[in-house]
Amino acid sequence: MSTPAPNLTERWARLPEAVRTEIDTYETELHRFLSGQVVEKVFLEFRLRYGTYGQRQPGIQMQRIKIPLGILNAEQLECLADCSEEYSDAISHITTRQDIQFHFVNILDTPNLFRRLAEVGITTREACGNTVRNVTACPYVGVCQDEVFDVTPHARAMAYFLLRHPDAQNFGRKFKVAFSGCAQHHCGLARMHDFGCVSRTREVNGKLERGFEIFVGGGLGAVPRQAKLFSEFVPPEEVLPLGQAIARVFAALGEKKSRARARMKFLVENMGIEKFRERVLQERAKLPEDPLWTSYLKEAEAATEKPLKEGATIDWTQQKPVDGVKWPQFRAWYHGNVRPQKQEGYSIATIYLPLGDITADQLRGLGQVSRKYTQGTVRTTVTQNLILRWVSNADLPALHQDLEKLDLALPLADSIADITACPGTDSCKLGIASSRGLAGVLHQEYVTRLKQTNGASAEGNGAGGPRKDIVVKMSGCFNSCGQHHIANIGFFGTSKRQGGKVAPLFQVILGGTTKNNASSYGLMVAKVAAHHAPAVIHKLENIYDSEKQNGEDFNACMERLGKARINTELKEFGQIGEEDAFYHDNRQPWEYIKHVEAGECAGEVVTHAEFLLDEAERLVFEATLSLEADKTTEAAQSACKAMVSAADALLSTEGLLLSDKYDTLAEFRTRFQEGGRFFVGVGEYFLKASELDLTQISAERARKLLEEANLFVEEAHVVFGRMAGSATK
Amino acid sequence: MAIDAPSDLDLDVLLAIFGRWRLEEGEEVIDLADYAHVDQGPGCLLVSHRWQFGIDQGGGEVGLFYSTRKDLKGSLAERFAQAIRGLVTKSARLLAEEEFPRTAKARCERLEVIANDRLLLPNTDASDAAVRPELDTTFGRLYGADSFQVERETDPSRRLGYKVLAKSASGLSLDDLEKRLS
Repeated sequence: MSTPAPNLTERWARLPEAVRTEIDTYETELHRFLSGQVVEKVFLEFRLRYGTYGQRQPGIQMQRIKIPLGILNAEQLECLADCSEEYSDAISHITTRQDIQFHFVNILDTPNLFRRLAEVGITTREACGNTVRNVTACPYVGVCQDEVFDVTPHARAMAYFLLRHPDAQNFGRKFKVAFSGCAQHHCGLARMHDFGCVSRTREVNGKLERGFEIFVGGGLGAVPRQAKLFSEFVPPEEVLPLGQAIARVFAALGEKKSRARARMKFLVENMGIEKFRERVLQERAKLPEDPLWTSYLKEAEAATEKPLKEGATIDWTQQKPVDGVKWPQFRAWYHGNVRPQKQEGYSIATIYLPLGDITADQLRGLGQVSRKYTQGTVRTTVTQNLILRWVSNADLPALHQDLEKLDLALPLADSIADITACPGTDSCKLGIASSRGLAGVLHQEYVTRLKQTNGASAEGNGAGGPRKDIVVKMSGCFNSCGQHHIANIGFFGTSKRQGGKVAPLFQVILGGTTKNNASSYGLMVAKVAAHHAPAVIHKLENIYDSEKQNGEDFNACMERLGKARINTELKEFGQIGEEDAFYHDNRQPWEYIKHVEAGECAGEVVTHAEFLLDEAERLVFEATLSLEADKTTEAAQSACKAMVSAADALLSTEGLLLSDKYDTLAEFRTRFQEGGRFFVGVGEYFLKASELDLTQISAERARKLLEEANLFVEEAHVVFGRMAGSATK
Repeated sequence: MAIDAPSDLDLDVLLAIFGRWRLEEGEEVIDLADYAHVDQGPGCLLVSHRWQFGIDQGGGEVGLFYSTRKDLKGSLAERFAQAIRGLVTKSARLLAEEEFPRTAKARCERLEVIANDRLLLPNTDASDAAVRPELDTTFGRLYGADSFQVERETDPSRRLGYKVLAKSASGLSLDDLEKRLS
């Protein structure tokens, strides 16, 4: 059969050149790794920097896709739907950092997956690894009733400024940035990030100025830390350079050997906030002016999001605003999932996604829905849902109908049923217990209850859905990817050996909050059997309902009752009996086996020098291919670039940063060639190559140049190995 | 492949069944993925390096789906046959499982075939012209020449796909399909 295979070369040629080259480089590196030409730890960190992450199951990948601020347009939704069908299991998973993840991906499919995403303006670059991860932002900014101002342009500018930035390529661990439009709400979580920016204003000479309150060194994980206040007010034009300066300080001083102490929270803690601030400001003062710091600001001032339709009010006296509306279900959904915007006549509709999952058909359908009711955009949320903004109130009943057809209208948003869960043992190498299994059990329970009542209360106003005064989050292990520290009721997985068997357990954490940008973390109160965990939630609800005083909230009530009392109340759930149920995890009818591997987000550090040396090898390889194809000039250029990369690798060990734009040749000559640290004869190849006119080079000279580049790169490896105390090859 | 199944089909039975298969099939099976919480989703999916198998609830109908990912060989007609054989084998095994509802029956006369690669086979007339004869060859073996109707997916945003309906359903079993393809 001859199929009319479309000309993909032509298709990919339409991608922006830099993006095309980047993905081609990834593909080359992938094939070099598969043929044994790249050291595994270098390739691992390399692929992580493209968002490709090893799953718990061997030989298969999770692909994280970076969605800055969680903003997606309809075309992107459709592309994601298509790619999830073809490369994954037709499920897109929304993460707690507003990314999207595909599971069960074959690594050989990743280059074309990247190209297809790039066609609609999406990159996976720096979605994992020791990089600046997805920049998150409160999804309600711009439409929230009590925000200070819309941080969207500033957060977007930060995301693209730091993406691929040379100062953000040499960290010991990941670096997370968040923006929030206010200090008080729960949507931005800025205070649990490495670098959190919270909008605020100040009055100067009677004029209101916009700016940001800056927090640094926050983070969850096994050792959670609240971020420290770095500055009460930083003007918008200073936010990007401040981010760059912080990145440089983290790269220079952050821990590189002990991964458990490598996050910025430890650096801030060790230095103390005053010294850290002082060092960052020194670094800021040294930075050469970059037009990117402010070029977006004019646009930011003018930026406004436009609705598709005119605003309106809902006429609640009409029972049939559109044909076929199921009025009780609509009321329940309205009360559960809709909130008014600050712009009169418009609403924000939340699409509740159980466990953050959505099918390809639903995602594609949502693309059409977003075009029908808005300008065709949605945002992901840190609670693993999606929201539609700028929906005219008159359209809400019709929108509800359309979402119902897609099975996306469950009225559970922001309720106790709206549980955040990390992947846990379903796919994560670090998982100890099944956080998704537990969340799945609870989801089924709440949906069953909802079906019994249609979400209607005795008053018939639709406000009888699940309670909204308790937030539940869960992680499969202590690393807190499910953010259990900032929930009223949090769980994290653990286990216990009893006799010849191992039982999955959950630690119960009480008292955390997402409010005020996640201003306080919960504490452990008890350890319970995994299969009892759903009952623990119901027990705690009952305690709260029966013992709360004077309208106190859940955390205040638990604090007043005290940990000893709560521990006693939960004691019955901590007993591990002989029954099989204790040795099965939630939604896993097979016997529990504890199996934990090293997680890739806490893998080995690959230094910038190692990356550059690997890049040098790849360039030598590309030069060889060019020479074979009689592309003499290209071969010579790649050979020369290889030597530059190898020299930069060595110079990076001396503290030189690529963003300083130093003269590689001069620095190499002074620091390595003349100092006798590099084999002089081989070093000369690099110095002489710089004098060649590569456009006029003969095939014979290009071949020789390639051999010289190869030797130069090999010698650079030897020198680097000598400096590090062990060879890298 | 469509199945006649109870309207309240409990997807959780698949957890137990696939949990067992996972151990029995050894290293080829990567894992099972539990999506029972996703309406219109695959319920519980058994994932291997070469294929995925699970329930398909899309379009308001219940069916069993088998997606091959690699190692198909030969002409497109032969590849279709290999994929359908995979579906038939796995479906027969599932329907024979004690936990699976005894009333569930395979509707062997209703199959759907989808080309899972928009890069190689976009949903265009040109792809259809290339694929259709091969599809006819495969389904000719299954149902007999001119004994089936084919309806192509008309939405170009969806994958190239065909609903195939045998003109006569009388007595067609999974065993029959398997024999006709072997």
